[in-house]
Amino acid sequence: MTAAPASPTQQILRDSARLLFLALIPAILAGWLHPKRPVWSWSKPGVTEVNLSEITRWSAPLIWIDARSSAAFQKEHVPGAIFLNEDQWEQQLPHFLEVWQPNAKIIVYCDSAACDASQAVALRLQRELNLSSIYVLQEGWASWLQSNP
Amino acid sequence: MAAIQPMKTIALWICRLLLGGTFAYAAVQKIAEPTAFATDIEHFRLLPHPLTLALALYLPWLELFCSAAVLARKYEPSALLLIALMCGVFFIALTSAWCRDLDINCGCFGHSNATSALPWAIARSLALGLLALLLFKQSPSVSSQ
Amino acid sequence: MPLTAPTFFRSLAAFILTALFLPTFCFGTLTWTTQRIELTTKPSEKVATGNFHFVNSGSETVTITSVQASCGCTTATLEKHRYAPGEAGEIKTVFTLGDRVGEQEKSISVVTDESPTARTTLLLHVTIPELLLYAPRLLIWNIGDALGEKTTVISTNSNRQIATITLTLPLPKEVTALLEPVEAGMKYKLIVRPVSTTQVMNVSLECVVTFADATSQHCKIYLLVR
Repeated sequence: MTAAPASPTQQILRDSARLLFLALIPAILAGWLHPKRPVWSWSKPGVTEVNLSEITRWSAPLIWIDARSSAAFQKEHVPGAIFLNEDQWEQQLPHFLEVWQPNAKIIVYCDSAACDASQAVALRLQRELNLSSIYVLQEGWASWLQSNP
Repeated sequence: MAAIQPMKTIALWICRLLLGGTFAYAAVQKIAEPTAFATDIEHFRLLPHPLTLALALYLPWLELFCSAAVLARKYEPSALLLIALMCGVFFIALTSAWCRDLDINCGCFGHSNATSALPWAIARSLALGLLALLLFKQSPSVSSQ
Repeated sequence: MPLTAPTFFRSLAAFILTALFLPTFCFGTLTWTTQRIELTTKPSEKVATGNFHFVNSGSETVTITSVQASCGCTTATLEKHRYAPGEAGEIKTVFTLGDRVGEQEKSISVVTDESPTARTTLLLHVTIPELLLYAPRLLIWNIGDALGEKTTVISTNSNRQIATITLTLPLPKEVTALLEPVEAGMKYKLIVRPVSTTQVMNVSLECVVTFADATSQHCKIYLLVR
């Protein structure tokens, strides 16, 4: 007794499963052996990003750090923000330390999501000064402007 | 009717070459640079980090296998369906990024290659998806139903 | 073959799909020698420069309409914007290092008149050696803490050995400090004790490090009572 031939739909589903499975093999090998494979981690590396609505719920004192260019900072910045970027890190760091408090949350921002200066400044603060409670503002200055037109 | 058949066959092959070739090219760029592709997916802010890494490794190989299946005409309907599905997912992701005004690279053809503005990438993913569905409908096992 | 409505609409759909596709394959006729330059800077350098060479390998004149760096610290310049077929050019990028250390990656976006919606991304990857490592660079006491000493370790992260390391005098009156070798030439311990923790303090200790190759670097450790 021969088995009934699979319907076209069943055949398509079976073939799809085969393709999905076949692609898995080189993908797993790439994750193991590829010289440019991504480094595995459960959470996104770098400093935690937060958005403005989360920040407004915080009760701790906040220290805003502006990691944009000097010209952008001079034009406009978050009220009370401190200017600190890697162009003049040594010159600007003492000013940040004057206002830092152990219970303060530090939020670093730069222009937008595409800008990586805020992550760079935040990571450097973590690494060099061993500070915790450092965050990066999601979407940066662009999100501040959206909420504060 | 007999004269139209060769024209239709040629037209379908051109479509297959376009679709298969585009996906194969895109896949190879991303297979070469999985970390850079993971960064591009991360910028869309749609998936948790571990899933981003898994997708960055898996998706390009799926694209390559599907494009090979289309060109070799083996498992063709399934490959076309998967391609249409992937295009649908790209369309949603790109549209979402555009609506949220994210300033990002499409990542479609690899990280450091020529990149496109989002509206153009959205139109392209829609066009590719429709082409895949058109070819799927024309597949012998589907069109004979 | 008569032109029926279904035929017309199918042909129109095929034309639109093909038209949408064509720019996908228009990758531009500028051929780049490389789109990624990797450099390692020397300690004395203030800038890193990378020149991206290209040739117009097409049959039409190409105009570069926009060249934009990802960071204000990087400038990207061209001698001119229009390139005839076969003509070569280069984009000169200058990355001002500032006080940066470690791996830095700056991207430059190039747009031409061939395809205004597509851009080529050039990458300048610079490794800036971090000559000194501090573990940590900031020492903190709480107000009311006992007058205990805290330690930081200053070490070299390069092939350069430290010849001498000296604290800059006079020391701030709020602290006492002592430098001791942990591993001569490589690692030194700075032991600091505040004079009082009854009020807020914000001082720094400076030192001068001279390496075996006669180059020198200033280092600064920050001390806080909060």
